[in-house]
Amino acid sequence: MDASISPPRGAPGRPGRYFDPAVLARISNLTLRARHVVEGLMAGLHRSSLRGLSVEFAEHRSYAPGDELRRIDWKLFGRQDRYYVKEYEAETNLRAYLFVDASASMAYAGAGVSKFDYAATLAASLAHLMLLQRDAVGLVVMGAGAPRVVPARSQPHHLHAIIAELEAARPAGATDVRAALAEVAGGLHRRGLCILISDLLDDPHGLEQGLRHLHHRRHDLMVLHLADRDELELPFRKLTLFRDLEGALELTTDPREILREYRAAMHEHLAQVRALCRRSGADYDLFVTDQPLDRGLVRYLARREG
Amino acid sequence: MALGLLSPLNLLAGLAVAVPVAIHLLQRKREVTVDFPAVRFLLLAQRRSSRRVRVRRLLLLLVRCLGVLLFALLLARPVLQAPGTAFREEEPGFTAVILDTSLSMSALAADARPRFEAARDLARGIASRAGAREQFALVEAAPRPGENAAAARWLDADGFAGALRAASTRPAVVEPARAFAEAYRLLRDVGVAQRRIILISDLARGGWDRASLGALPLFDASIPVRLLRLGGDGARNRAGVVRIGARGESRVAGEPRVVRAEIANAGPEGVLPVELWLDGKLAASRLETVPPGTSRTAEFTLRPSAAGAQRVEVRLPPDRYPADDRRWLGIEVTPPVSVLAIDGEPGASLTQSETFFLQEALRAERLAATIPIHVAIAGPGVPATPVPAGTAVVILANVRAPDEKAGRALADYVAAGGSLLVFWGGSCDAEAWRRSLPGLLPARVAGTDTAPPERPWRIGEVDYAAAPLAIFKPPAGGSFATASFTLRARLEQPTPAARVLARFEDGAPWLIETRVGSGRVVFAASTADLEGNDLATRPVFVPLVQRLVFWLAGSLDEASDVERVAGEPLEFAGGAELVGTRVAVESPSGVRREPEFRVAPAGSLASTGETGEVGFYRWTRPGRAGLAAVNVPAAESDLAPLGAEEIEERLRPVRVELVEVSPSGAAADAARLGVRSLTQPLLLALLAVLLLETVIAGPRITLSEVVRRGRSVTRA
Repeated sequence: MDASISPPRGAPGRPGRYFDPAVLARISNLTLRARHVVEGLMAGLHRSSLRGLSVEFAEHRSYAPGDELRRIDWKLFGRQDRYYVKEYEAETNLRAYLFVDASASMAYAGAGVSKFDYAATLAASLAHLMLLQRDAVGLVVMGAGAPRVVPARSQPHHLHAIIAELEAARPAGATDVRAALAEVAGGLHRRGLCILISDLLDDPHGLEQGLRHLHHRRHDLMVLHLADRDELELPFRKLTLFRDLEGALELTTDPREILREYRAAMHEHLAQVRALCRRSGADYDLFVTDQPLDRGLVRYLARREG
Repeated sequence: MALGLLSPLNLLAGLAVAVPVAIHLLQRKREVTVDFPAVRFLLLAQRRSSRRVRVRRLLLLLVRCLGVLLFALLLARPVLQAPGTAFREEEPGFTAVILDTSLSMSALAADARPRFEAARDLARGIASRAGAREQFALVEAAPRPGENAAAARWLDADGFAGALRAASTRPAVVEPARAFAEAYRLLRDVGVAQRRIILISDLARGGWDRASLGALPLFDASIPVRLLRLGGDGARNRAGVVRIGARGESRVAGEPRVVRAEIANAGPEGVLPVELWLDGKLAASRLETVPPGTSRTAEFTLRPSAAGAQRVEVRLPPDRYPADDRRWLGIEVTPPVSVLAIDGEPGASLTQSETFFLQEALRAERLAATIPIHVAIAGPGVPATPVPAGTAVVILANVRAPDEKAGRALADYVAAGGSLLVFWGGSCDAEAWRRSLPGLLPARVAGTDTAPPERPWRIGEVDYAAAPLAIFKPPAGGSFATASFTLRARLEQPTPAARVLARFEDGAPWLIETRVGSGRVVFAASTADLEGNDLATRPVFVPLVQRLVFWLAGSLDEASDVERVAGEPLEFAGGAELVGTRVAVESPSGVRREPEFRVAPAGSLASTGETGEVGFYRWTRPGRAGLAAVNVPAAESDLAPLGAEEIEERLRPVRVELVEVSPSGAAADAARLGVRSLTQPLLLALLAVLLLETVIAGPRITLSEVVRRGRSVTRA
């Protein structure tokens, strides 16, 4: 299946196809999937978007057609009467932690990819992008039991460790987000960026407490809220026995009969989550699993560039 | 109107109402299972919506049950029907169909077919859709002449169709009382089965305006009556000739005759072209002003050139009702009456002439004004030559006696149809008369008697039944009793064929008549002048002489210039001498009848009975022939429909349900007549229920789902 996907390098136009979850789902290797997403993103962005706060001068090289004029070192031109372009070398100054929810509810896959697959791809892509920028990135997988933590590193090969952990993870059980965040936050001594990728179906108060805990430790927070389209719209048409993925709850109902009330309840929940993120100083964004993945990366880049 | 079901067994489909009930009760067994992450919100939604859902489910159940019941009702083909409109197929049913066969039903509908054809199609259509156990009787509302409506009987559908084929319109006015009486009689005889009466008619004002059912003897209010009115096709009678007659000072050929025709105009045009035809040739044509909605009399003056019966016809342009666009009249044109008077004792002066008083009498007014008389005088001897052709009457006044040769000539003349009037007188030789005219006189003359002036004979008994004497019947007529007679013939016993018209007080005959061959002989036993009596000075003399002459000339019979209307009898009046003889009458289609003259107050009368055809009837009786025109009843010319209230009034006590039928679509209408199908409203109701069910059940697919599926297809 992988062979059927042409490499994104040099592929002109249509960058969106690189981020289509349905297309990505056909790539079984998560590394390739992350590279696919990131390089697809790069194909759609100027290289300058990588220029950030954490870059410093490395060397001069001769100007070549196509280089941006603003990168010409005019002082050197004044001295040597030749055009040189400044080359910079990125330097890690960001430490990011990806908190990926691996609760059983993340296993739900409506019409396309599961929320966990979506979350894993998003996390791997972010990690790949961060490592490309020499940022240190770590991973926390929150599933049943204690969270599994991959410490933050900036070496390129660290991506393998992250992806291995993601691939090893299986959505199961219930997640206590508050406890997981609190537990991990205790070990984060350096200030950094915490990115939570979850369906946030837990108790909102626990989530808020966890986020507040991280915020109190001066971490920057991003909440990438995942939802399946089915959860938002409840498109079922027949009498259905609904069984809860994380508990013993069951309900037999005709979804059409409660559609209006369900959507209202879901809307209330989303509003509540959005509000508590705002109160906790976290950037919030809702991702539906049938939407392209690049939005999460762009969101990250925008935040990194301030 | 009541609810009926054409296929009631299909109501069993209503048992399918158990299906939604079962679905409602058992639907929990048909669930699918989904592992879902947001059950918490589902439970919350369930709690919030539980009451609404219960109500909705109950509504849904009711709506679905209603839908099933409506569907079952649709299968049962519900109809709204008047009582008795449609019978239950499993039980016997009897339908008396009163079919209007009156003349107005011959009006042409929009498709140029007579209304009657549409009515027949309608009746045929009703019968063809009848159940196997349904029977029909055809009652014609305008029965054939001479036929009793009671001839109707119960028939199956095929037999009824045959009876319909034989039915036709006829020139007659509808007789609803007779038709309804017959229908009720038929239905009474079948007992208490399903019964109904269907009346198919145009209810044109002309025929029905005077209709009245009166006290129907067998009226049964429990029998439903439906009235299917054929109308609404714009079939209006533009104009018609509703009456015709002729009047003239003389019936003689060449003399003017005024024909009057009454034109009734129901159309929009105020000027109508009217034509007069005489014996098949156009005689006159003119534009007659007849304001719409009125009638006018058009007058034409004819001068018929030939003697005999002639056909007069007044025509209007053809319209939707052709029956009254023509009207006929037979007129009689007679040649002048020629009289040959033989004066047996011509005097020196006119007053001494035997024929003076006769000539004066025949010149006087009254009949002579309308029938000119040409009087030729001869004498004193009777010519031995044959009587001149065209001579209607030969008068022998105080003639001694014809010689033998003259006697033979007179006998031949009478035998061939001529008439002889003999006035006896003092110059007459009884013996010579017996020799020269044996058997010609109604009685042998034995001699002549005289009476002294102070003891004259007077007239006693008069036979007023005889045509020439009818007008003298007391108290209106004049009296013969004042006349004095001093001379008279002494007669022996009259011959068996002789008829004494008047006698003296002593019983001796004065006027005696007999038929000889085709002719007639009248013998007056006294003179025509003042020699033997003073009758010539009496008021009765002139009319007596005139009527005797015209009677003998065959001009006293009823004239034929008065129209007859179909359904009325043709009546022929004559003298008492015609009793026992017959008149042959041939209808326009060649049907021949020979009614017999029977004794009547004014002599004799022969009647054909009801006439059933319109046109010219040719009649013949001994010595006479003529034409009688029979026309359509003018009452049928008004095709304007009666209003609902008028119908109710005319048909009381029968209460009918009126159904309007278009003649052009009569066959198609037969299926639905009287039955208002509920299929369409029920279908609409079912559709509404389905829509309601959809609304209550909620959309089966959301718009966003449609969009999402569309995107998926596009991506694939």
